[in-house]
Amino acid sequence: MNRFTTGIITGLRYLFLVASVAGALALTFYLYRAFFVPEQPADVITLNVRQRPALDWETELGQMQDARQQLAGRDSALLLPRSRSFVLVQHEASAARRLALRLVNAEPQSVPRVVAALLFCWLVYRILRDLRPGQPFAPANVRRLRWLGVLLIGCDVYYWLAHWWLSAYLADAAAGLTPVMDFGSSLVANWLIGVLLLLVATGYQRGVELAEDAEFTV
Amino acid sequence: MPIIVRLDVMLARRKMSLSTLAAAVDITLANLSILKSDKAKAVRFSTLEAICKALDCQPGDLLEYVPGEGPIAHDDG
Repeated sequence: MNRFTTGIITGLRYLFLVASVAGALALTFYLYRAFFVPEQPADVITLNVRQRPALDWETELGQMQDARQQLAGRDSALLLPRSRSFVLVQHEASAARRLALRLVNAEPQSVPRVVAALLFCWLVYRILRDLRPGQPFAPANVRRLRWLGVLLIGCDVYYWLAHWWLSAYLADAAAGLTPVMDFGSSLVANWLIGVLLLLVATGYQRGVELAEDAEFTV
Repeated sequence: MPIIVRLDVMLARRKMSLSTLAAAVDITLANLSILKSDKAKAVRFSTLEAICKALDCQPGDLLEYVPGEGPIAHDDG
């Protein structure tokens, strides 16, 4: 490990440490607001939703063709609404459901997303902290890499479950409503990165075993 | 491990201390202590050769196979 690599690792380590502290502070703030300072009256919840007009595929295609014909020969633009964002404010009798909805739909970030980001930053910080010059294989990092993989897979599982639950909940409120959720917006699916991390952890574990063997080779 | 290192026996026979051997074979005292206390997982041929030369003995004088002294370490790969 040369000085350049050591410098990058040290820089990243402090970056993730700062991100972890910021995440912990943000989480404290969100939980405090959710439990002690709800912005709405006691039995009211606010949800960010998107509504897609209830059009069948042929009608939508027809609208697009009409728009293209209107634009033909003219240098202008036409905006066709496909979905609109709304804030749904409604009564919710169940206190547990109210709390769950506030945590899942908190602004500007949902609480589970803040928790996931905090755990991610903390795990990466701990992994980088144990990478020392001449000792790239730390036994504890195998466990941390596995947790990182499980965390990313868990993020996708959470997203699918929360989206399914919120969609079912919103179906009672109005037709065509879908929840606005910002989980799982990365280029590659979180679960795929998680699986790759689990594979890397297995390879890393073999490195740890080889390093231990070399340590006791005379 | 069923392979027992008899380095202490040979050192006693030759009336040599561990630190003297370490100096003679150019191996750190810590590494020789690992070998002597049976904590070593592997021994290089070069190390074995140097110890045999310094103690004027055969590898069989230093290593002994004792069945039932614990599980054999298998390589996973």
